[in-house]
Amino acid sequence: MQREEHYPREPPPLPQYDISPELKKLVLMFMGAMLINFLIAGALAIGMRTIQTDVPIIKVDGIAQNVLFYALLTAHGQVMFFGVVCANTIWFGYYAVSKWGRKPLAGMGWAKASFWIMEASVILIFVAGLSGFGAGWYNLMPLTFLPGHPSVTWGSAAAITFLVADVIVGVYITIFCIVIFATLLRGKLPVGTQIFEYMHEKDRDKGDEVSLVKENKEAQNIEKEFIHQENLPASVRWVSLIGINSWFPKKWRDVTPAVPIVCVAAFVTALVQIIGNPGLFVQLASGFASLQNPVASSNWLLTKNAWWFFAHPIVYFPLLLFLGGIYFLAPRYGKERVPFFKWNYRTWPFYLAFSTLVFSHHVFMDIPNPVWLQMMAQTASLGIVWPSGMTIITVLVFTWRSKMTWNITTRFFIAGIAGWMFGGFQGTETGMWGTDMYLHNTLSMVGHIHLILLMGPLLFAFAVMYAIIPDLTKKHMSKTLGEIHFWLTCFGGFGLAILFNIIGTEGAVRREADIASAFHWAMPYLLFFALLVGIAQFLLVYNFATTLRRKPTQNETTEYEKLHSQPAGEGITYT
Amino acid sequence: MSNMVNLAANYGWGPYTLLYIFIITVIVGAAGLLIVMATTRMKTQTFASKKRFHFERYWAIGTAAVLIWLWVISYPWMPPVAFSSINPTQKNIQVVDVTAGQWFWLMHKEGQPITPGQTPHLTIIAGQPVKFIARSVDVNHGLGIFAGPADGSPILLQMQVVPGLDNVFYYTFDKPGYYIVRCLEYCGYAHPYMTSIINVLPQPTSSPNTLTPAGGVAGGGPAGV
Repeated sequence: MQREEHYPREPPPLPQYDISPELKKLVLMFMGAMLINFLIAGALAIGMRTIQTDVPIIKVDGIAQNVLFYALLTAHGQVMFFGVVCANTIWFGYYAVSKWGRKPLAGMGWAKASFWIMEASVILIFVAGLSGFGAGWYNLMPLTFLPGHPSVTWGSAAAITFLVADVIVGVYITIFCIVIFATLLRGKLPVGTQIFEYMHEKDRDKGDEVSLVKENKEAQNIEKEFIHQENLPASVRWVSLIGINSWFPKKWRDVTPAVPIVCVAAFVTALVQIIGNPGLFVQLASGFASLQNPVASSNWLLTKNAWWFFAHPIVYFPLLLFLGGIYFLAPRYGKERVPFFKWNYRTWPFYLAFSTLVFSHHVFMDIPNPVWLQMMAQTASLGIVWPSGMTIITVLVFTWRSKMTWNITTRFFIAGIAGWMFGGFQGTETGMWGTDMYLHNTLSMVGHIHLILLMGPLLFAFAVMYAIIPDLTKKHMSKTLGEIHFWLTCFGGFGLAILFNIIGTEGAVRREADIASAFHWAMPYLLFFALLVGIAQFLLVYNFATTLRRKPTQNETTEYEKLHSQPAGEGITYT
Repeated sequence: MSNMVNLAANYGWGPYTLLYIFIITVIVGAAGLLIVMATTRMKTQTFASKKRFHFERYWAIGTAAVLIWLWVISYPWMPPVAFSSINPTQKNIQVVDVTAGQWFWLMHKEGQPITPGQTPHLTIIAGQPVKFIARSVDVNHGLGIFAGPADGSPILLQMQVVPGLDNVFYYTFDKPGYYIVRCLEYCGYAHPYMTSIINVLPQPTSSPNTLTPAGGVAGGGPAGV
């Protein structure tokens, strides 16, 4: 039986719930701000690469050059985290819970506030950077208050500005988490019973598909398994939103139905981060309490552990939600409908558990830490690999089985899988003490974080951007510019990250403004790759801005109206 | 297990092995993705055939098994385990006090006199366990010892030096030679220049001529593993 007979050639439309114009505007504001932040933070990175390449554009001598390098490094790292990749999670989170939750976003005012608070934090980070603050993006105390010679580096005012910026970061991320909880934990949710394969709409393609599924006895009860809106009891709702029910026997799954996987991803993302956020506030409280006497007044090991309790979940914060997004993109462009495949859900309880605990591999090298923490570090670090590997394989197996359309979106998501897979493999190496010994605090870790964040979630975010811009604006972005954006980003990004990995594994130390002479050869290449990534983002910004500014064409208007004139009904075709 | 550790450079598989594994992974992974992309339109499957396809289940079990295996083989490298077999009262342990500060290393072997004006570089004996007790007088530092005196030598071992605490680490240098010490935790604008040298001498029974000249490859192994 040929698949073409049963499935349309074109990607099916987005779910039929139309989010509010207010939310569409907010999502576009987040996207725009993210792109501007990305350009500025990227420019800082190119400044760092230029300094290390000894290009005579930035030419200051000795200590001043180092101070400049570390100020650039700090602002680059924090803005990339809190103004770029976290911003991506937030706009997609707001969009996703409304779109796939099929309901208005709860706390729209708070959602808008989170945007302005995020931008305030980014501006303060830049201000601290301009004041010379350069304690590194993870701001390892007590360096914050002991910069060596404040007259040539930074003073208390810059340090306090930076700490206030991080307080604000904690506030906007907390607001995001609460908005997600409020949206998903109240009112009805779309639910459906988990079955192995297809979920069929009631009124669509009825003849062929019903005859197809009748080949299987299990699917004969398909009428009972249509997706519908349901006000789940609290206990069942939590079980469903974490994905625990996917491990239940089938008869229990009937009473604990599945919710759209994008909602699961949003819920787990928010839950992981709301658990981790106190770590940030503990670290900051320790910092503020130590302003007068930074050497004697705090337990710096505890402060460091508290920071990583926040700061490793923040690495998963940009990632997890987009993993749910992949499960929406793959069927959309693969002309398939596999909304409630149990293996897609089975990973999420593990993401929740291990994303929370995996922070501990950052403390491997802190020998005074207790034995149980060291043991947990290795266990959780290897543990997080399991759901990651499952997600990758379920997406790839699905892709392999489908008739994927290879457009900009799907290429971005498959490249994102590559970046996440390569970076994740390296994460496995750092998850074991015996191998982390050689990699910790080398440029290999810089390569790892660029693979995990730049070439993982950021590419996923681009994939989703290209996919949902038509839903937000009724307009399509330029395909040609999108293609150039894709290839330049991939070539530059992978080149940058893999070269960092190679020289780091050979012993190049990270955060050395004056890099060891043995690795000078690599600096021009790193600058070249960074420039490629930067040029690509200018094209994206141009593409985004011109798409917003121009009027929709007749074809676009017709397509959009056709899409949204279809009856919404209670069924959801896929997630 | 001991064979595996002996094959390993020190506490683990060594940096170059990791590099090769990473490069192979990138190549194999990229090839796999390209194959998936190239063949995705070639499949013709029915609902029934997919229902029988349980690849995910086998992958889940296989991945879990590999991860458990990795956990088991790396267990002896964990600091509490690696150090637990060392007898602190062992007579030939060389105790080295390390003081780290912005931006210097002071390393002193217990029992040796401190001569004013003498270079702070450390001299120890190969083949005898070394107990490093490191303290920081200001911010976090990272004690990184590289397998040679030249820039570009791979990392041999490292530990964080957290202020306010005794940070203890054991290691046995097997090969005489010079080992460069660098700070591996960013500690301020002069962080790249926070370096020192450890000179590992051959055991007294050996000929003095076996001393590895500067530029020679040095190495060693974990004490007690």
